[in-house]
Amino acid sequence: MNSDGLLTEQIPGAGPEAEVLAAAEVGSKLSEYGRLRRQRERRRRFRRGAIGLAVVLCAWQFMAVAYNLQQILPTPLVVAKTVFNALTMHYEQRWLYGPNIYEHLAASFVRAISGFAVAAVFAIPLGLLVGRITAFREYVDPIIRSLYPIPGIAWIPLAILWFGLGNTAVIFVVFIAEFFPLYFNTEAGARSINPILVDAGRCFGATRLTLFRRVILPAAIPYIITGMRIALGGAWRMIVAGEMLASQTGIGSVLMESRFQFRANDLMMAMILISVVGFATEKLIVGTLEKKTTQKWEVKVL
Amino acid sequence: MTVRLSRRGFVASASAFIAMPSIVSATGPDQVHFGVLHPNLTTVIHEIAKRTGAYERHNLKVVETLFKSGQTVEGVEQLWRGNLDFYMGGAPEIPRLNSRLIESGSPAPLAVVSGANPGHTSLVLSNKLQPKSIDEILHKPLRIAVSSLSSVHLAFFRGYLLAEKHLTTKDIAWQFVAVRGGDMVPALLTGQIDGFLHSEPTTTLAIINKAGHMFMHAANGDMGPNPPPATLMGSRRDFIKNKNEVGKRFMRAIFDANEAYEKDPSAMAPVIAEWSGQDEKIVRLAEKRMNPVTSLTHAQAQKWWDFIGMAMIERGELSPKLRPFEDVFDLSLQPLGHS
Repeated sequence: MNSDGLLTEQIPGAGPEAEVLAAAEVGSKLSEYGRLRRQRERRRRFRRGAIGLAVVLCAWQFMAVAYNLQQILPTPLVVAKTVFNALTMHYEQRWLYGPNIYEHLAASFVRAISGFAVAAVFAIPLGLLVGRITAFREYVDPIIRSLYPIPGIAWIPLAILWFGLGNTAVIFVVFIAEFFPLYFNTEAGARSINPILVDAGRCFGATRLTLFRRVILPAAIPYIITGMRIALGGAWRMIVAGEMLASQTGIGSVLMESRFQFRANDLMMAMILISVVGFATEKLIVGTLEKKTTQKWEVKVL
Repeated sequence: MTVRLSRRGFVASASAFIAMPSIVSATGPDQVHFGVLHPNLTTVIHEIAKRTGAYERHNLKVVETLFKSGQTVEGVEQLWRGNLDFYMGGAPEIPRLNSRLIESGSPAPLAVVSGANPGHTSLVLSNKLQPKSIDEILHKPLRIAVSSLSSVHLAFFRGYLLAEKHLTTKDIAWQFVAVRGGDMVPALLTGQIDGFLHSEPTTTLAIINKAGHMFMHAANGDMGPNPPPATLMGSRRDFIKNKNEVGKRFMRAIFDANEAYEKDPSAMAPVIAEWSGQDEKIVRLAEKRMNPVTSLTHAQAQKWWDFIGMAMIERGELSPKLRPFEDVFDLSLQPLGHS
């Protein structure tokens, strides 16, 4: 019994060091438990994802074979083989789409990233300004909102007229498609900052720049990241539309040509590659940015 | 007075009532679903057939489905799916679709039954380029517009290169860029392209707008003698087999329209202008480079195969297994004595 009259467990040879060691051991067991739990969760997510994918693939295979739809819905095996052949440049049918698939993917990637970069350069600062400065918002916001309902694809003829056929026209329509989600999300993020945080910053003597760097930007970052995620997805959608009409290279032109050739397997190969590259781009760019900002600063949307 | 209806009489009357619609339709016109490119100069024979009452004369009710320029793939797909009985438009899509099915071990579902506009392909060059012969420019890095890399005009040009020059498009320095027909003249005017391979009215529009000059025109023999038709009409093989008589009547109606056109082509200019959405003045200028008369002889089909089909096989667009008169053409609907 200790001086407070409470029973304490006596550890042989106990002293403060032993208690620290015991606590460390408990801590390590807890962290081990947490690690195992995360591992189990990861496995469960993977298992469920794999089951979902397997169900879709089985249904696809069944539909294609049972209803004899291979001409319009090639089986997953045929599509997988076409993707493999395109990636290894070992073609069973003649390759009718100009350069190899890597050059097409690279052309699309460059356009998507260029459009994204230009959109980010314009939309993020503009969104922050519109979100934080009321007078500026009143001038600019109606113009942007009135342009927003125009679908990205509607800009293609004008883009061809202004920039001619080629990269610039496609990059422009990608820029247009990416600008709005980036702008609206940034603006929403900048507007939704808790005023108490800003006032607290001011009370501590923060300059405008410090306030921007330490309070406004970190608070708006989750919104900006969400905007980027939506924008990059939109970029790949728009790039296909742009390349179908205004370009000879890129995965969109492969998609269009395979349709003209009635080659559904090539069409689906192009679609799968768009999905894979789009997913990888999103993970690489937005995921990295997210790690370097949101997760590092531990900011969350409340 | 009461009328008593016997059981037998009641059954007979009821059967007659139920059968009435089919009796009426059996005596009415046969319905034919026809897909055509519109607005377009090359498919005007359908409008002439409508205007001259050719379909009615052959007891046909033609339900038209219009496809915009560049939608030939959609038209051929609709034909394949059984939503159309005939389709008239570009050309290489029908053999291409048959080829895909033959490659997968199925029989060819479609057939080319007629054609129009022999040698409708023009090579228009920018005014800056004034070569004396094509050999001068084949190895220059020119940007030549085509409506798609699978366009009939590019297929025709490939045929020309292969048959006349023993070359493929890989052997020349030209870059083919896909530009819609309507955008070709502005693109030529603004120097974005050095020329284009297309048909009417794009050629005439380029000339009258001084965007370029016609360097080669296939119908003039610039791309070889007796050019094959650039526009093809296709049908489904099951339709040809099951409704052969209807198909033949449809083709006779088209021949009536041919006669109406040939009687006085210039009188048809307003009809062509309305159908194609072009100014009548442009149609009159373009008319000398077009021939919408729709028919196909064995010799023309063979020429198409030797010229365009072979180039498509060489490029890998068509399977070498494809046999022209078994898997591509079916001339059985052509009126007797024509093919």
